[in-house]
Amino acid sequence: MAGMTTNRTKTDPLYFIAIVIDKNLGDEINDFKHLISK
Amino acid sequence: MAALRSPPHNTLHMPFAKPEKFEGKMKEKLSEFCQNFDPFEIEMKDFGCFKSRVIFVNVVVNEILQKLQNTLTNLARTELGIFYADFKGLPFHPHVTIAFWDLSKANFSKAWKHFQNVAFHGIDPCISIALLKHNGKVGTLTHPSPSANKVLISDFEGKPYPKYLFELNFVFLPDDNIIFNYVKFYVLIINKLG
Repeated sequence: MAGMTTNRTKTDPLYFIAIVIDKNLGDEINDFKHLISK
Repeated sequence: MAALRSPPHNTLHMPFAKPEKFEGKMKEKLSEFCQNFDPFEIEMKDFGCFKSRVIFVNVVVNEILQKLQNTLTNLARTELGIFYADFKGLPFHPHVTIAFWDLSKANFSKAWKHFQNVAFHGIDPCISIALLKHNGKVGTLTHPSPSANKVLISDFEGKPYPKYLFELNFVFLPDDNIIFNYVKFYVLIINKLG
C-alpha cells in the first residue's frame, strides 16, 4: 500500500511477529534449551 | 545461551524495521487479522537443524498454519509495506529454536548428535500471535542478564491478554561466535485469535 511506504532510518525500531508457544509445552521446550546450555 | 533469552516461539514474519509512528496501524491491522482465524493446533515432532549452529523442534506444517502465515505476510506487504517475511526468501519453514547461533560448531555437533535421535511430540494450542518490538539497545553477551522466560510464560497464562504485557530479551543477527549484538524486544500485543 503506497500510503504506508516511507523512508526508513537506522533509528527505526525492529519488530517481528510470532506465535508464542503455550506455557506447558513451552516449559518442555525450555528444558531442551537448558540441556544444551549445560 | 541465546535461545534461553526468548520464550519458545514460532516466527511468522522475520524481524523488520519500521518507523514507530506506524505502530498503531500495525496493531490495528493485526487485530483485524486475528479476527479471521480461529484457534487451532500446531503439532511438533522431533528435532531438526540448520547446520551448523541452529537446532530446533520441528513444526508439522498444516494447512491452517500455512494459510495463517501466507495471509499474514500478504497483509504485511500490501497493507503495511513490510517485506522479506522469510529468511533469505526461502519458503516458510516453521520451527521452534532451542539452540541459536551462539552455539559453537563443536557444541552443535555434540548437541545435534543427541537430539537427532530424540523423539518428541507436542501439540500447541495456538490461540494468539504477538508483535514484538526491539527496545533500541545493543549490547554483548559478555555479561548476559538472567532469563526472563519464566516470568514471561507465567504472565502469558493470564486472560484477557493485556497490552504491553512484558518484555523479553531476544537475540538477533549475531556477528560472530563470541560477541554479538543482542536486542531486547517488547511484546507489544498479544492478539487472541477468533
